[in-house]
Amino acid sequence: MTERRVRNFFPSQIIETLLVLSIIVGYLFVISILNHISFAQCLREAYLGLYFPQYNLCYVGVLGGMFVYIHVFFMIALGAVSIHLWRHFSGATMRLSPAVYTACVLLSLLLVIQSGNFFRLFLIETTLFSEKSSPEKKALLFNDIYTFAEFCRKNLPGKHAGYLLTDMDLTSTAGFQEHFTLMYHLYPIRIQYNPRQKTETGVVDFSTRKDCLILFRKTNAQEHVPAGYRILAQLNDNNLIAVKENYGF
Amino acid sequence: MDFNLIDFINLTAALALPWAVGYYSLFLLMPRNPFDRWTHSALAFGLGMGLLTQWMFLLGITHIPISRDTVGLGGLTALLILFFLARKCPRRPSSPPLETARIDPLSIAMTLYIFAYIAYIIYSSLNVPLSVWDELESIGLKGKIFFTEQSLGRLNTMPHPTYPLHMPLALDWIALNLSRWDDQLIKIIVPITLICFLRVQYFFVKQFTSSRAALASVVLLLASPLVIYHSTIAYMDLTLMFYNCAVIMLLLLWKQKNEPGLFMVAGLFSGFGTFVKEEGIAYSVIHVVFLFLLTRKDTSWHTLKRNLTQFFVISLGICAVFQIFRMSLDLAILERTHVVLGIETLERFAVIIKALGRVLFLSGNWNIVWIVLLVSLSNFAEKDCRDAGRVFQALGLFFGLYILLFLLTPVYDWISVGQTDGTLCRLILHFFPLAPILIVFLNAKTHTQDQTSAV
Repeated sequence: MTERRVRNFFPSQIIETLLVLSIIVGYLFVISILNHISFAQCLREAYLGLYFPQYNLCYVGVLGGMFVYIHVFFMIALGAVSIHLWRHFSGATMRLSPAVYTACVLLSLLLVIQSGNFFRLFLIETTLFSEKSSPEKKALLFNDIYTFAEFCRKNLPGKHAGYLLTDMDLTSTAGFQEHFTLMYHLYPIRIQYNPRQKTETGVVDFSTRKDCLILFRKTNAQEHVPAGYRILAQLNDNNLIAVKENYGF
Repeated sequence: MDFNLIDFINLTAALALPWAVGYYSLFLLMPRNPFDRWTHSALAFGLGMGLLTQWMFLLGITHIPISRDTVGLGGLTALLILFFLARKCPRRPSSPPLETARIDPLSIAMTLYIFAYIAYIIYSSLNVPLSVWDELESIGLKGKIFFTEQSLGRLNTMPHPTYPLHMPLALDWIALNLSRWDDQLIKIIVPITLICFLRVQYFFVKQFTSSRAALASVVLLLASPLVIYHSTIAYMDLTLMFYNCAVIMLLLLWKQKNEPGLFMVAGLFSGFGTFVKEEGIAYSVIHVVFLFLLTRKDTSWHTLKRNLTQFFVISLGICAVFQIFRMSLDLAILERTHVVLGIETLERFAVIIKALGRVLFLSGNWNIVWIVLLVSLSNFAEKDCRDAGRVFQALGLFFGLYILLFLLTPVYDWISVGQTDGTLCRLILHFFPLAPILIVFLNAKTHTQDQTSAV
């Protein structure tokens, strides 16, 4: 009778969960001793190592010279052995195997931490973007690229095709990406970079049907406006939009 | 958020048309409908969006303007025809039964978890404008040009002109209904795709196990931060995940229920996958191989041949239209897939396995879902895991495909340097839901086990 009461009060699941949790704590404690750091520091490193990505790849951090998830493997192994022994001696049975049960407890713990991280991300997004209009958000995300693209589209509405003159290195990853971002925000003004627009001397051939010239991040932009073009609007020293003189703007 | 009542009505109309077309198409495709109303609706959205973008593409290649009127008129005509034809269908989807008897604290916690994440995904996707690299470069820009030009005319001057067009056209459809290119609201289709997928996965797992196990599989899917991230951005990967994994689930359901309609829908989804991303073509071949493995034992050679041919014709028929169009663009296609054979391919094997291990077990992208799966695999030896075996087979085919691709083609250069593991993660995302499903099948009691033990 007494034995049954004890079993009802402490169902096997609770005992096994407590066992896994104590193994996690014990494991981290051992790691902290082996690495000569305080337990609090160890917990902090483990937590920071579990950052969760908001991009396509994020490797977990390192704790005691090993990836955090390597420690997860060790914890699962220890937990599995402990639960196996507990089940063996107590006669308790459960559907999940000891290793899977330990993994599930660890996963639940990680889900709590992950949810906290997503909540933090939610707060950041809310702080950054709340009560901002769509153009304000884009200005925040793309800085001068979006501001200049908006400026161009306001001054030259409708569909146009133009050249881009810039000091940016369009062959570098950053320059290439910024070029495409500008292309996206400028559309319907098309400025797609085409190597064929350059002549053998490396100078852009301005004699084709394109009707405008976008000078973006070009030092002293005004000086680079070629003959046959006039400045339509200038945002600052390095950014302006020019159009063909005879185009009829 | 700049969002008013008119936008809400337009968005609803933009989503309702493909959904309704899909809804009534499913009636025709599946006279003996095995789904409940919610799952039927979830599949209808995927089917409808697939049909809609195909229709927009057909308009584009026949030089008919891709406007709200032309697309909408075609859609409405199809809807009217389907509505009248579907009236004769004998069976309607049933309402899902309320499972009040088995509600337990764990199920409540899991349901709350799922809804909290869905709320976050909807908020985040609609709150942040298109800003991630591929969103702007290969999807957003194309969609914006289609929206402005109302044609595919400029496609060969765009970045990655040979890429499939499902996503740009889907974004274009939302923008056409809003009458403006809104960088935030057009992303609505992404979280909806995820929600529909969650429902389909829940239903599928429930057919083989219990509702609690089905909920657990959904929680395991949402445990992956990469799934959540891709549900908030307008990349093609989540949509391909939807079609690709839905095909596997539909084929397994078809095997269980022997409903020919499921087979047809699977074929269509496999074809739609080829229009989402180039990888979809390889996946459609995998689907055919999976179908072969699924049916080879208990069907005659004649039936097997007929099934494979039917599936192949539906799936690759959809694929062929775009491939022919792509060839007409006269641009280099799949230039990195020529086969390299030699002793060096063997040396590559270790590097590939290392890269896969790194991405699966040491990245935070999947939480510890792959680790849980690895641990769960020990159950294979202990009990009858026929259903799990089939999912494992599918998962093995996808991994096999990539290992073979990396072994034999110059795509290997990607992973050998280790800098493009992000790309590898995106490839794994296409079939990632099979991992949570497999975990649940390996650990929960499936109906097949019940039947075996009853015997």
